[in-house]
Amino acid sequence: MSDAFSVIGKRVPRIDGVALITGEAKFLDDIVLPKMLYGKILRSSYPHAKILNIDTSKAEKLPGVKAVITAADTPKLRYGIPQIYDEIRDEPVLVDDKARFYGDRVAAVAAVDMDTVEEALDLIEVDYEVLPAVFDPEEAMQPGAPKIHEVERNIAIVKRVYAGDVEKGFKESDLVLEGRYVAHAQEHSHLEPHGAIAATDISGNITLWTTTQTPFTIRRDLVKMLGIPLSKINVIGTQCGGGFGGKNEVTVEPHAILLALKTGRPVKMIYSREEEFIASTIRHPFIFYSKIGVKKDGRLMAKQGRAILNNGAYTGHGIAVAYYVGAVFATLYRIENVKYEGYVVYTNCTYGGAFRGYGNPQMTFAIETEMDRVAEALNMDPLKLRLINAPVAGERSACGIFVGSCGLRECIEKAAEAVGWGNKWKGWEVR
Amino acid sequence: MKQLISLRVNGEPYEVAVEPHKTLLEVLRDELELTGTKEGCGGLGQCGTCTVIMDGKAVNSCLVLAMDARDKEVLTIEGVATAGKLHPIQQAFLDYGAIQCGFCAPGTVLSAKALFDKNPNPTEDEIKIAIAGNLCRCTGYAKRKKALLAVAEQQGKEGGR
Repeated sequence: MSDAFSVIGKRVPRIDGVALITGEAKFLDDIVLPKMLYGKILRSSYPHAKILNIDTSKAEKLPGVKAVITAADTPKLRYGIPQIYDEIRDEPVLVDDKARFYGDRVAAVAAVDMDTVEEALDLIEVDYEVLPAVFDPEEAMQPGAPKIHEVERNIAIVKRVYAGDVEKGFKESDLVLEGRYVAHAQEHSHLEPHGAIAATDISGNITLWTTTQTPFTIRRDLVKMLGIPLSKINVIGTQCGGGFGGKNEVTVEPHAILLALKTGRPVKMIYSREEEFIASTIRHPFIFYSKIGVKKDGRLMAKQGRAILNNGAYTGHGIAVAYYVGAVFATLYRIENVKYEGYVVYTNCTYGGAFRGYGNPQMTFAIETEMDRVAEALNMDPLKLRLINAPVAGERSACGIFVGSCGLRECIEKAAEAVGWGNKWKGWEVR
Repeated sequence: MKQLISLRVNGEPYEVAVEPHKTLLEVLRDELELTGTKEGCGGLGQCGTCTVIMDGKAVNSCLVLAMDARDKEVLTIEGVATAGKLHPIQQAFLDYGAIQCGFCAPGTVLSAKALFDKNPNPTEDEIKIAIAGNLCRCTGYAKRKKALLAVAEQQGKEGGR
């Protein structure tokens, strides 16, 4: 095939390869504008605390400080992922009532250099009333747990997938297994931190350079959180030094814009590595309660699962992640009778977001571990169990997803051949 | 109080007035506008994106005070390609797809170059040790290694350079 085409099947040099390998490519921090200021966010020292008072007067008097902003300088609008889910908008630009995680955004400073910025942050006095905090989502769902937002039992949302009849499926099964699977948090740690530069002109037009992976999404988000018309914001995505989903999120963009509007000067803000860990989104930690029913010959008959996602302090992409967990559960492996509930639960932890796979790795870990347990209980080759239940192209999964193409069987077979599975597998007794 | 220091960067002599607490990284990026040298971990010497070669040795420029670079010879990524021609290490990184986002690439190229300058035909282990301090999160480790082994093989054939 490769001979028939000039591009398909050929190695093509990367369009930005030479610029990257010679250091010529301009990342966000490589951009310097005339009269540019530097900014940083003051973060909460407590995971859950009412903000009683913020005194910025000492910071404002420090020579070199050009602006200090608090919630009073923001439109106090909440944001989420507006173009997909309007029902959950819980995130403020700067907190106006209370901090909901260690590192929540309390104030922001712009000054002539970073040394002055750091000094000014130390001069802002915040009176906190410390509130009880909760970090475990199952504890957060208990009656009487500290309330993080105005929702019952800290449940931000529940996503459901129901199909077929699971009770019937379990009755017709020869074996029913139950399990609990736990997956931990993970930080993207792209080597280039999050950052943005905002510049304004006399007419209030805003130009924003940002490390984002999703310039158009972030532009819509900024409109929702700042109440500025879309036509006023031009977003330029700079060379992205790794994202992995983490740069789908809004970080310093609204603060850089507000500080630029207040000072009339460009403002650059870049997360420190510490902020990356404390305040940028993470992969949702996950607890999964599972029940699976199978026939002796290995056919899956019914699957029931309850996912509890540790949302952290705000929802971000949590709803979408809970949906995708269910979609994977109901698609891999083939199943007709399925019941899935995904609870997205607030805690006082750093909040979750998009991260390579969007819930897929957590769910796949649980499913594959469970398939091995089923194979062992049936005394069956785990490879055979997967081949029996692997979906094929042309099927529609229980949650309604049409499987347009699928090479899973071929992939499993080729991988088995490559590792010599046939010679290695000697049964469950001689593992 | 700023002090005047002189150093050579990419073969050019520079005189720079620096505050004593400024790092070589800050001077390269902010004063000399050589932004190919990156900052990834915030000056902790953990990520390797700020790697440059100073007097023949690969160093984390975020851990070198600018004052300690006085009268030294520094090579940054901007000085690696000469006369518009990529260095064989750079070419190999492109040929083997050893760059993805590219943020770690300049530092990694310099770590590798410091090795190849001393040892034109290194072993796989020597290559791995030389670039062990350059983190990559796009998981380009295997391709980097392949690219550098190809350079080693090529230079081995040429009997070193």
